[in-house]
Amino acid sequence: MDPSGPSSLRGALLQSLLEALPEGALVLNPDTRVLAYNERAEALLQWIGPADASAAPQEGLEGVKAATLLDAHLLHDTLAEVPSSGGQEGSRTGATFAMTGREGRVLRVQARHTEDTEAPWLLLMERSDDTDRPRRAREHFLRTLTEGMRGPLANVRAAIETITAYPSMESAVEEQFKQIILEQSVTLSAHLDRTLEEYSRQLKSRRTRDVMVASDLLALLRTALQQELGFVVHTAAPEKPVRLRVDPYTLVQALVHLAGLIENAARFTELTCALRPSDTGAVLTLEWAQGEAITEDRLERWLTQQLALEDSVVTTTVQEVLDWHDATAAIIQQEDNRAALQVQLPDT
Amino acid sequence: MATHVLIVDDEPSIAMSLEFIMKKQGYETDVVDDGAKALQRIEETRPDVVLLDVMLPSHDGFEVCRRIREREEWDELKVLMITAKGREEDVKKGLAMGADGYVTKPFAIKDVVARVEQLLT
Repeated sequence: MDPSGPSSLRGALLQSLLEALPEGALVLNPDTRVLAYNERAEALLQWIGPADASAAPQEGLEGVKAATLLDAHLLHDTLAEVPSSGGQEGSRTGATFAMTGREGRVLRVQARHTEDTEAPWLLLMERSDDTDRPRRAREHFLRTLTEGMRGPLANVRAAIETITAYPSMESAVEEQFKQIILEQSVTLSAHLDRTLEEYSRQLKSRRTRDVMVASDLLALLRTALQQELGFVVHTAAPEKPVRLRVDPYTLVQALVHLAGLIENAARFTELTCALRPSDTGAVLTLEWAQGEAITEDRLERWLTQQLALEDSVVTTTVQEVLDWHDATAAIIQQEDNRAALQVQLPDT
Repeated sequence: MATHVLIVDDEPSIAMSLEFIMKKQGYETDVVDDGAKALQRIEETRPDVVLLDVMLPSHDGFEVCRRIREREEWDELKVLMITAKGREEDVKKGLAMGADGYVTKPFAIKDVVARVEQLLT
């Protein structure tokens, strides 16, 4: 459905809902072709770059297979694990993955199952490094709050003003207006509760861990280390595909912060980043030529230093980021006068 | 003959207040609750003023307004849009569709009455 020209009432309503979302949204048919989308989705897909450049649509997304827009394997596996909307999956409402695009850009994709057999999939997309997200979420909250209040408030106000302006109206009519005031006050309260609950839920789930291909995480880390710290970074990706469940944006920021502290002490200019599978997941290694030795105590202090993430109003620590990922970190002294930071990451 | 006001709102609470107050002001009133019925009722009764909500089933208020303005024989019909959408772009959209005025909920009933009177003078 072209965003500029919905052709039916159902389509128009769906389009209005999609455009009101702060995320990019794709509605898919059972064959995972795009049925409807919003303008933000189009912008995000252009930003990340096409998964399959040769299959990139020239005009609009309607009818395009989602696998040509996003990482086909991650999409396929994620849709397979999305709980059905009526399922017994507790509070889980969807499954997520993260994919990288050009210039180390990361797109977060959340897949949800709908009850509509013609449109069973909804994909919500946002930038993983989206520092603008809190502002848009606040705007969305304010708009939902105010627009949802205007209707019931207008009904209450009109009823009160009518009763006041015509005190001698028939008692049966007056009773009807009083009933309106009561009902609309309840509606107003329910709207306030519902909107606040939704906003609170959004804040709590602001950062989530998504399935990501290990080599993508490595590429992202390399780009960030080079850009932020100016290192020469060599990488060694695992030979066989490894998938991790991470918040790439937060984890990479934490690792770059830690690498900066280590570099300040060990004085290296080159770093080798490697990721290899382990029995419990994967081991990420940041290795450098040994300068000043880094003790475990010192590492411990660095891990618990306050760290301000770029898109957050609260501070955290590298240790908290690692704990959240169920990860551990240690300094390993190696042969040939080299040292390494080893981060053990669990699998998905 | 009394001036005829058509109230188009799918929210019975506000429609009841508007209808009550307009009748008390001496207007003849009629109420419908969706866009398609509004167009049909205009065809049948040729009201002088339409109080038109934006969020409506079938055709929304913007669409109803656009269709009204397509009909030359309805040129004299005054349209006052009433909506919970208070953003500037929504107001602009309403006026661009040919509305004669735009009132944002929640409003003072006396202001709506005053706007209707203003449109009819």
